[in-house]
Amino acid sequence: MIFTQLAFLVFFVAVFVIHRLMRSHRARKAFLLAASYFFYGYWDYRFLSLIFVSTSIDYLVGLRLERTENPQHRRLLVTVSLVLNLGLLGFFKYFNFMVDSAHTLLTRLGVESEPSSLEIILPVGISFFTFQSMSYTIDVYRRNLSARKSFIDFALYVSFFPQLVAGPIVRASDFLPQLETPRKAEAFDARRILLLFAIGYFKKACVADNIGAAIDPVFANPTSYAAADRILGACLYSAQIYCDFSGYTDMAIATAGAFGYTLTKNFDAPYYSSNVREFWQRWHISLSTWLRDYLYIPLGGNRGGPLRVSRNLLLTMLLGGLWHGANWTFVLWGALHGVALVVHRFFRQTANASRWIAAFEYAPWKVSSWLLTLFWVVFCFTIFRTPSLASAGEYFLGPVMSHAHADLWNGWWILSASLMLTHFLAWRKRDWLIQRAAALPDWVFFPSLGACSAILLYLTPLNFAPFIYFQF
Amino acid sequence: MNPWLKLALYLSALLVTARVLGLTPSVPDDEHVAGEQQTCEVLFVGPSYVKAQVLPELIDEETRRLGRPLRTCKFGRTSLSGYEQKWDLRRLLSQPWPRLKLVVVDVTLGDNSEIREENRWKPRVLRWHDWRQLTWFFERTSFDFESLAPVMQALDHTEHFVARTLRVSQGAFFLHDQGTPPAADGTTTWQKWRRQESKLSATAKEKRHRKKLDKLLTRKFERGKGASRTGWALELLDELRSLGYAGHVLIAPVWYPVRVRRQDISAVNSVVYDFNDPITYPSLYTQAARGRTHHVSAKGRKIYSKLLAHELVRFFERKEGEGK
Repeated sequence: MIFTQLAFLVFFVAVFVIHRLMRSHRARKAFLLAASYFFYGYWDYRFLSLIFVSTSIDYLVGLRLERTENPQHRRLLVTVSLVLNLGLLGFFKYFNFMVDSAHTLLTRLGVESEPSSLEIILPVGISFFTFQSMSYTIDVYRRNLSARKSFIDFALYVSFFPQLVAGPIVRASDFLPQLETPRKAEAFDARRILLLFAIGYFKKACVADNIGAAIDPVFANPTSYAAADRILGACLYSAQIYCDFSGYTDMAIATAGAFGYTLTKNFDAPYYSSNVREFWQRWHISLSTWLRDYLYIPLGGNRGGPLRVSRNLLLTMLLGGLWHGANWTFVLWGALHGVALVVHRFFRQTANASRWIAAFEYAPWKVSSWLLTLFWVVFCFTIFRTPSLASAGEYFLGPVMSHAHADLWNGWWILSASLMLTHFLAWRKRDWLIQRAAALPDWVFFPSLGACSAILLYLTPLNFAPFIYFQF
Repeated sequence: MNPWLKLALYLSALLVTARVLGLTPSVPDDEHVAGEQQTCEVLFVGPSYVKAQVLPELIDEETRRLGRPLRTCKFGRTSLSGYEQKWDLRRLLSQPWPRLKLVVVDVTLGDNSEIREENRWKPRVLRWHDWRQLTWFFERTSFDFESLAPVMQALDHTEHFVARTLRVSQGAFFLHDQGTPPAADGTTTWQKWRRQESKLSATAKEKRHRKKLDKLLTRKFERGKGASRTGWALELLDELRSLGYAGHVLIAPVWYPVRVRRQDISAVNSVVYDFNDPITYPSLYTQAARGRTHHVSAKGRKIYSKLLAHELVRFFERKEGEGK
């Protein structure tokens, strides 16, 4: 059940109506929890026990942490939580990867070994809910947050269906306080929610899915396509992943808003960034801030000498890459971004100390640095998209000319590019646009929304591609 | 403003815009038979067992060699379910076919109202779902408490009907200039099958083949086993008669047992070509003749088409002999 499917619409309407009819705040929360578990079970009911066990243990660890003052006990409790969460993540996501990598390494070293991978199905959204759950215990351990006594509140925080399978990774300190007070009816702005959902739907279904259908064959078989096709494919993939993920986030924020809850902002026009550091402040913000607060800063952050800071940056980005999936392409993607962050950091420090700093304010420099950043991001995303390092090599080093004809050049992509441009322009003025559109009189607003819905459906491909980030 | 009035305004604009968008070009139907209409004498209609396995050029060549030349053509579509097949027959034969003498309908898949996974949201399936077809489905489907399947099918058909009415995806199909988007990884099921096959040893392939053959032989000739297509075949023959054409029934050489009661078909002056029979047609069930899933290989297609040519020539010679 994904946000762009009819099944989700039916589910959402049913949950929304029942939620509205309920009077008690506690009953509403219990109902939302049940609905969230139904939503997750709809993907695969077998993993309901997994999320329940993970939630229960972190809930109990939180309560215990609150009660005990003994630093050793506290450290033990938080370790239990981390081992459990990372253990689950490690087993479901990385077990086969580690076994296969060890097997390959041993074979290359001339040691005979039997491949012994297991048939493990990756639970949807496991990386998101384990990170969310872990952040709660760490915050309680650090005394940044008090433990929640209500199991329903904590379980709903972990499993709230709009953000359960692909984020944003909500912080307990942001979400749990919202559960304490009843949501007010006047806070529900139906028009803004409808418009935000429509924008998200447009990005995901009309742009990302259409691009995906055209570029998948190029990535599946790169050597059959000419260099020009592959370059265009790489550029379009960057557009696809952005529209896919930010579209999901918009729809998640809108869906959560319908129940009166606010989710964290996850994107801020990342492709406008003029350096890699800025890119990470605008792309998947909830993950990058999570990594900053729970990994980079505990590692030492910006403290220490250049080597130590570089190590911290590289390690954080490597793990950030690995978080996306059990594949060396993700590790390389993270490593490349880490290297770029290190280079940028020292370049900036050197420039700050020199008289060249004034040159950075000139337009040609700004445009060049924006283009360079965009090139780097597209290059790294190409590695991210390819199924293996060998395939990435083929993608970059494939033939210049080819007889195969990619669907990319059939003219439709010009439309997609125009849509993207429109989207970027709209992004800058998005809030203003939503505000103006929401203020239209009823007799203009509802027919316009109807016409827009028809256009969105007209442009929606019917292959119902799941969101890219669901697999992470 | 009254909330119902808001909803009415929204829905009216939605439907009007969808109607206007419906005027834009859509994916052309793959009616590859259109060019053959003036010359075709025998038309084959059916699922992929016709689309991929019946080779009209080879049949024509073989009938020429046998001294009774025929011009054949085919209309085959992947997983053509029963509900579509009847509609396609009606649609196709409403056009003029000046030389058409016989329509051979492949009934292997039977009268199935279910939208198969591989066909879901295809333009041709969407095109089927107009109001008339939807009411036809509801009229012939019995809903009871014993099975959820008819309810799920009803939901599926309704969803397709809504998608067709709202022109869902028409613009996207147009953008891609192709019928259906490729699989998520860009590979075809055929490529995946080839990869899996190449991993199997010759002995394993042989063993698997033997097992399938034994199973079919046991079940095909065991009373009460196998899917009966008699009712569906009679319904299609009746439809053909009402359209003014003679029809024959074809059963493809698949691995599962399919049955049609010959005496019931003979009773309506028709003929059954049952190739789902490894005893009568052993050449279609050799290892070399078999392909992916229930299909025959490239070699099997040639054998199958030649066998079809022989059956057709035998029929026409007998008919002409009776005429004299």
